[in-house]
Amino acid sequence: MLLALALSAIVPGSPEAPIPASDTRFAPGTEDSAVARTVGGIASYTRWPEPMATLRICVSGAARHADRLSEAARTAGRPATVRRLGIGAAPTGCDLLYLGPMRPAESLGMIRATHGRAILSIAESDPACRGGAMFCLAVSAASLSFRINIDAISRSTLRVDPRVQRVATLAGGGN
Amino acid sequence: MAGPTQLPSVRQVLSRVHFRVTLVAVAIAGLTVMLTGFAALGIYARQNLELIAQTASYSVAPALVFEDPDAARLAIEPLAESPGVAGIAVFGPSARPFAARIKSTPAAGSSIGWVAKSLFFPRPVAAPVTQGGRVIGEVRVEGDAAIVAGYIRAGLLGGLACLLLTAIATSLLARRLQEEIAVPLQAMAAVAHAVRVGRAFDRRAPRASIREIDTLRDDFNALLAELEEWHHRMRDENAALSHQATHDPLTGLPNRALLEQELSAVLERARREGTSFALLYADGDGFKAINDEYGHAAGDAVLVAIGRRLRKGLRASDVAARLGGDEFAILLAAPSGAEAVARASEGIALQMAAPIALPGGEQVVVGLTLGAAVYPRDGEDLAALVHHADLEMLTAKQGRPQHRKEGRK
Repeated sequence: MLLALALSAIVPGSPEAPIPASDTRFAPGTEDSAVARTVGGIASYTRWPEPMATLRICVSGAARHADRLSEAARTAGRPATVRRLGIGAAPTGCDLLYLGPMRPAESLGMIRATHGRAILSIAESDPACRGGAMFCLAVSAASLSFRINIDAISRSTLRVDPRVQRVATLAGGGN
Repeated sequence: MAGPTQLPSVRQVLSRVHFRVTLVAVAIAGLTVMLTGFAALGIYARQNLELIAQTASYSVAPALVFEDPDAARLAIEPLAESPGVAGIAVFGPSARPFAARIKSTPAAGSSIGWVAKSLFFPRPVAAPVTQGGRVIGEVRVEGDAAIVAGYIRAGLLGGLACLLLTAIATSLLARRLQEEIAVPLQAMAAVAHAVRVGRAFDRRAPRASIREIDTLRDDFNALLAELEEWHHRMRDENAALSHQATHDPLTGLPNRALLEQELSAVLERARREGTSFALLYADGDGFKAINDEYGHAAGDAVLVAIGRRLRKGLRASDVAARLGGDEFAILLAAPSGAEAVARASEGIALQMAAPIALPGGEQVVVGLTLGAAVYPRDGEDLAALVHHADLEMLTAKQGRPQHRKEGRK
């Protein structure tokens, strides 16, 4: 069972209504850079069991905002490499799996494959964050927000700084 | 010249000295405590601000990373509410604050608050915001001097209260000391004044509770005792001299001077009160012959005997005086008149009828010729009265035999 909205659930309000989460504004047309910054930021607040020098990003599916993901190096605080991964391919040599839109079954398979490995999963288009990814982005015309799947995070071997959860949570519940 | 009233009293001097000493002590202690308190409070306030800045920097970092001002504001809001914080601002790469939370504080408006703020937090406390060892922004925390201002206000009030207490305590202390120092001195001064003005030589200063003052008191009392003794001796000598000047040494009777003095007083009173009095003149009959025949010692014995007998039967207010030689006078004080004169004359005649024993063993009888004057019947003033009595005596004398009446064994 995936309790994607575990944190959103504790705040009043209907869980069915779209709940705003972390809300990053950007100039129109710079969505890809904003996504890269956010992905790098999430990575910078995530601790892998093995320290690593380079952040290896794997992109799968029909990602729309993954073109500038190498810029994530700046906010991640370490060099980053970006590699495309075919749908259904094993995520070997990936520290971060960026999932573009795909069929739920495919997505589920990809995420299942990350289980037991130190891989941070970020879904590009799963507003409800029910697909099993640890982080879910929500990109709109002028703002970018993300949500957290606490279940997925707690099941993985990665450790996410609570402050990140707080940014997501507080922003989600604040306004 | 400074009079005694312009000089300060012991109590004033004591009070002043005490007040100064205590004031200095209180000021030194108060300033020390205040300054130490300021310094400690300032250090703690600054450390508090630094801690808050670091906490804010830590919790605001993800919000900067994700460029989420709302999250940043929510992160600093609870910190900005802590006491001692006036506001928190988060700066990203740009000069404009990324997020800020300013608390309006009433103390910032007061002058003490302004002084405390410029003393302790002239500039906001800044802490860098880092992400993975990279500085991505800065948090600035503005201090709120309300607590320090409160401390300064309380310190000033406390200082004032201490000053008030000092004044009261000084006054009480001065009063106590005054009782120990000034009261014995004042008692001595009162005794000295009483001795000088009222001649009260028997007064003595009471014991004092301070050694030096008690020693002074002892010496003072000893001086007074000497003064008293000296004064008594003077008085006795004066009295003796005065007695000598107003009394006849042979008979011990008042002399002419004293009689005239008494007469004047009696006449004055009789005039004032409208009463009458009488004056008798007496002259020994044949006294000269006794002197010639038996010697001066016998004459003296006769005079002494006359004096003693004249004194007998007189009231205390009456005066018997020897005017000189064998002349005597008797003042019958008011109220007295012709009857009193007659009674006195008879009494004297009866007394004198008894013989007088002479030193040689012989006995003589000496008569007295009397002349009397009664005020106001025989004269209004002293001269008239004396003249009348004298004249009457002389008239009586002419009718008497000039030889002595003597009885011999």
